[in-house]
Formats: sequence, structure tokens, C-alpha cells
Amino acid sequence: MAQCIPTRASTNPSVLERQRVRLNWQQQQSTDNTDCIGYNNIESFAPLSSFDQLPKNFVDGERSRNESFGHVHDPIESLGDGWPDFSMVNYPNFCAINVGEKANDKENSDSSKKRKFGNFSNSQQVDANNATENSGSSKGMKEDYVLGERKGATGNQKPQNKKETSTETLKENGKASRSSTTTTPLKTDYIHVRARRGQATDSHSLAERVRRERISERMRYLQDLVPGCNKITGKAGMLDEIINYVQSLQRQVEFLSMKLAAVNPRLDFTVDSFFNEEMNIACNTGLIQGMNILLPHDQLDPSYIQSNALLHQAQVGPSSSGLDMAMSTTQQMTLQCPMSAPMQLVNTFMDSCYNNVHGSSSLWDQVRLNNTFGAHFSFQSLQGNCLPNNLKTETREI
Amino acid sequence: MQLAPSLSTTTFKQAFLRSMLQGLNAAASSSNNMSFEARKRAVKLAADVAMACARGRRAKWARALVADLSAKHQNNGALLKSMLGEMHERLVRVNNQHCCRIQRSKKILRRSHRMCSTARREKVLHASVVAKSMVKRRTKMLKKIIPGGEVLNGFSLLNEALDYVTSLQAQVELMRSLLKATEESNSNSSITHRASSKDQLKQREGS
Repeated sequence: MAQCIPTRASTNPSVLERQRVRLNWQQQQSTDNTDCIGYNNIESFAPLSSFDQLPKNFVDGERSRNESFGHVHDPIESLGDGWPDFSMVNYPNFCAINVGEKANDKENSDSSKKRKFGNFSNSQQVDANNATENSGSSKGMKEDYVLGERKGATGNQKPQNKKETSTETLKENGKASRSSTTTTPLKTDYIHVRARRGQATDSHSLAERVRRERISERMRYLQDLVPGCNKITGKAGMLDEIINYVQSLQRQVEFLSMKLAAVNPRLDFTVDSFFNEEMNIACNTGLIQGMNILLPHDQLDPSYIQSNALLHQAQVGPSSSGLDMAMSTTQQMTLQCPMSAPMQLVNTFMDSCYNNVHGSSSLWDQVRLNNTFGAHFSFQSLQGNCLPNNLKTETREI
Repeated sequence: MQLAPSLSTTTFKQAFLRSMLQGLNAAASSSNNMSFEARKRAVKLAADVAMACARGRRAKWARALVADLSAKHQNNGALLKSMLGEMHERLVRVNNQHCCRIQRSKKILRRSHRMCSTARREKVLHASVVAKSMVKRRTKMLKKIIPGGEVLNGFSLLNEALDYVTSLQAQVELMRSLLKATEESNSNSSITHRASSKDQLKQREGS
């Protein structure tokens, strides 16, 4: 099944030649697809019918440097910002396993010349390798499409997958686990990178590749954060979306601050108002008046009570203020590089506080007693007399 | 992941709430004569500083934001001081020095670039060049938007943007919920006032 694509001496194959090669490969693919796992493959290879579609998302730095195809695509340039390849994120999922299998099946005696369509960028190869290592992970799937596609593009590349596992780009600090949570290597650590087969072994190009990959990773995270960016390909579009989103968020902040100023003309976010609400929600009884008497709000530290009140609100009433939602939507807030800690934090937070509030009576007992109020909460930092210190420590510790 | 510890959202939100309330209280003390505009500005300032404080000093944008705000709002120095504590002076001083240096070097760069470009006669408009310029324009815009982004490049700019976006999202969410809480409490207090007044009337009628 090895496809022998005649290697070309020139580094500038014409478009026609490329298309022909592509068609040949595609035909082969369609016959091979019966072996493949997953329906995806056939679909995903379809768009490659015209070579011109590819380069839009085909970001390749060295290629742009060596060859000028006249396509409008976002180049990876060693100069400037060295923007990475974003095409990965927008392609349909390829079957990672399939690619691996194919690669393993084919033993192609191929030239050691430079790949016909230029050099693949670092990230793709790493992703492919990662994907073949962690074939089950979804992110590996997502990122692996590129490999499959590119491999398809030049048949002589397929076997390289296997060979490349030996001459792979090695990186320290867990780059290999890209498909799961990753930690980018710190700047202080050395990143050991080996040149890939058929690529320049310049220390410069290696460093560029590393840099590009880091940037691409960041862009992917940003793409997850900014809503509606899944279909955007290319640096310029992504940056556009990011800029628009940031501007819209800033405008929202202004608008909300205006509303806050309007709603509360005295700018006093005091205890009274919040506790009134709490009462209504929690008891709905004649305790309201009792509460007014019970609560000597001027004796309590205002800011302490306020923060406590707001957080307490979050737990007490299911129908209460959006603070409840705000606290519980932390899960949505966390990035794709997941932090398990916050989830647990939220859960323990909610659990402990719900356990403490068994009924309205216990609630009022707590409220009456200054000391016990703070103690019931698992977060010691909420205690009022420690408030300024905690603020400082929080800012200092980070 | 560098972002992980300080951006754990519960602690961030708590810290944000705390600082925000602190700032709002500080603003409330001087709110008697304030116009609507001034009040809005005070609220926004409190929110921004609270966000920066909650994020901590690790984030460059947080430091830059605080420096910008303290430079802009000289009259609200009391508010800022109360929120920041002792770090206030340190932050303001450092950032000012940094910014001046950067400005000067950028000017020189720009001048030399202009001279180089005028020397070039032919204008080769490859697609790659066009795309590059598009990207460059957008990165420039992004640098303007993100506090402290002028001096960053490429990777760090994206890093800061990522951070900034998450904190902005948290800020918007929290402010929205704060607003909702005040609105609800206002409506509830009006209800309770009405209820209590009705009860009082009944009591008077009874006795």
C-alpha cells in the first residue's frame, strides 16, 4: 500500500503536480478506507480534493520561507511574532488510530530528501506523535487530523510516522502529554529538541519551532475561551475575535458599573439590604421583624458581614441572587487545562455551608453570634478582623 | 500550567468580592456629593482594582492596570490606597519608570523603520506579506487593549491576554450577580417595608 510518489528535486513543485499527487493519494485513500476505523476519514479527506483549500489553513513557516505559493495564508515567520499554525483546531476529527495503523503498515523506502510540501511545523508532528501514543484522548484526536491530512498529502510521509517515533521531537516537561493537561516548559528549563527527519537542524529553526508551538498552544486555549471561535481559522481572524471579545467585556464592565451606580445611589452595599433578602428567602415567616431586632448590624464589621452575607446567600436560597450562580459556575470558568482543585473547592465550599444551614433557626443563631459565624465556614479567610491581612496575604502570596 | 494556582476561580472570586466591597465602602464614604458620572467611575475603578488585586502580583496586566488606574485617578487616591495597602506605592513607582523607557525605545525603532521603508522602491505585495501585515496590525491593537501589553511580544502577549480574558469574564459575572443582589434586595426591602407598615397599622387598629 505504499505509495511511491516520485521525489522531486526541486523545492517548488508546481500546483498541477501537487494536485495530481493529491488525487492519486486520494484515490488510494478511498480504497484504503475500508480498513479504516471510523466514518470520519472519508469525510475528512474529501475536502482535500482541491489543493487550494488546504493552504489556507496550512501554516508552515519554513514553507513560507522557502516557497511562495501565492496563496493567502497566515505564514509562520521566524520574524515578527512567529505565529503558529491554527489550522489544527478547525479540522474535523481524524481517526488517530487509523493514521497510526497506516503508518505502521507502510514501510516505504523513501528518500531522505526534504518533504515535498515543505516541512511540517513542529506542533503537528508532536501532536501526531502524541496522538499515536495516547490514541484514545479526544484532544489527540483533534490534533491528529492534521497529521493524517498532511500524511495524505504526501504519501512518502506516511512511513515517516513510524520512523519519526525514533527521531522524534523530544521535549522536556511533559510536552508529550499534550492531549491531556499540559504544562508548558518553564523558561528556565532547557528544552531538548531533536530535529525532525528532513528538517533543518539549525538551532535557530529548532528554537523557532519550539516558540511557535508554545504560541499555538496559547492560541488554542484562547480559542476555547472566546466563544464562537471554533470556526475561525488563521491568526488574523482569531486575533480579531479576541480583540472584539475583550472590547465587549470591557464595555460590559462599564455598563454594569453604570447600572450599579444607578441602582444604589448611595453606593452603600450594606448589611441591611442583603440580610433583608436573606430573610425573605430563607424563612418567609414572621421572623422578618424578629430579624430586624436581632441583628445589631452596626456592631458587626460591615465588610466582613457583607462578604459573608453574599457568600451565605449563595448557599441559602436556591432562588436567591446570582451570587449562587456565580459561585457555582466556576466550573465553566476553568480553562481547558483543567485544574481539579477549584472543582473540589467549590464542592467542599457548598457542602460545608449547606451542612451548616439546616433551617432558619440555626441560621439566625449563627447570625446572632459573631464568633460562631466565622467558625462555621470552612474558609477561615472570611473572618472579618482578619480581612485586611488576608487581602495582603492573598496578594503577596501569588 | 502557570495560570493554575492563582486563577482558581473560587478564591479569585472571593478575593474579588472582598476587595470590591472594600472599595465600594471607601467610595461610599465620599459619595454624598458625587454626580452619577463620578459614582459610575468610582464603581468601575473599584471593580478594576479589585480584579487586579484578586489576580495578584504575578500577572503583568494586573500590575500595569493598577499603575494606569492610579495614574489616571489621582483624586481617588484614597480609594486605591485603601484597597491596595502598602503595595500601592511600590507598584505605581515601578511601572512609571518602565513605561518611559519603553516609549523612548519605540520612538527610535519607529523612526528607523520609517527610513528603511522609504528607501525601498519596489513594493512586493506577496500574499504572505499582506497576511503578515494583517496579523501585525491586529497584534498592535491587542497590545493597546490589554493593560501592559505594549512591552510584550508574541507568546507573553497571548499569555496575558488569556489571563486577562478569564479575569474579565469573572469580573463581569460577579458584577452582574452583585447587581442582581442589590436589585432583589431593593425590591424585597420595599416589600418588607410595606408589610411592616401594614402590620403596624393592624396593631394600631387592634389596640
